[in-house]
Amino acid sequence: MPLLVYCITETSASVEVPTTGVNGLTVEAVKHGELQCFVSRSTADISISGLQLRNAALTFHGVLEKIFEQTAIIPFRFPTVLPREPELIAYMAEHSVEYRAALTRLRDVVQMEIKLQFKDSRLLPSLAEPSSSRATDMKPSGREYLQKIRARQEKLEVAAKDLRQACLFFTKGWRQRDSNEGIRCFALVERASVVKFQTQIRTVTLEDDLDARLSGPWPASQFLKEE
Amino acid sequence: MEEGPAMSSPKNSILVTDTHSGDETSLLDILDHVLNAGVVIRGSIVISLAGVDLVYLGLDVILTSIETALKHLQNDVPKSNS
Repeated sequence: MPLLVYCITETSASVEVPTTGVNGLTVEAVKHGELQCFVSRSTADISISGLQLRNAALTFHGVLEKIFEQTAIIPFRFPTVLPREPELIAYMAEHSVEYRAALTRLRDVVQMEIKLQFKDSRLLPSLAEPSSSRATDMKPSGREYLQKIRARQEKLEVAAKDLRQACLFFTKGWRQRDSNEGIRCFALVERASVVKFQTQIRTVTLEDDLDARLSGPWPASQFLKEE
Repeated sequence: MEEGPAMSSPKNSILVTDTHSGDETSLLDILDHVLNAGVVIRGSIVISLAGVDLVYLGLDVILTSIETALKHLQNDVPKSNS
């Protein structure tokens, strides 16, 4: 019987789960040792049509969110479907030590995410854009182009550093990575400090051409592995 | 857990978005997280696109298909609350 898997928690966590999940299927726990995985079983192959996809993804998120409000979770990507329960048990057994350690470490923390980018939403400046030092009918040289890219990247990195510094007191961890649009920053924050973190991060003033958006709290999926 | 305030930035400071607001930005944030964050294991799924079932493709392949499909679906996301 196929199983759509939502997330893994500690069995010690007393969790109230939504009655139904994706496609109206019941949500239940499959336990193995000190871990439990929340799943929906289906007597037939789990099928999600293109038109239902967005709603199914949002329902999936709703289940995760409800559980995440109560305890730390290790979420699966949507949609992850395993053909039978033994495959899930085997997976949980294989990752038991790693996941137990992560859930213990992340028990009282959440992940806040900052998307930092230029307002023009282009990481790479246009080749057609002339520099001020050149005639307007001339395109910048390759060197100028690369210098522009480097300057923009450095500007983003400085802003990310400022953000990190500003909320250092409220963060238990920080990770960041480049994206197509700019830099994505992930802060590990205690559940009880989320509002303080949000307030603190808003005190940072960005350069005029930069844009940053904070979202969360999310499950600490960027911090599952210790650095 | 504390509920975060939904607020806009007074000048050029950080915009704090509320994932419960239901607006387009928060919706895309949620879809981004559901599809791109979290553990990936190999599995299988039946997904129907344009009335055609794609049966038991590897999950890695399916995830790519869904991301592509979502790009189209996101164009249908209402501009106001969903």
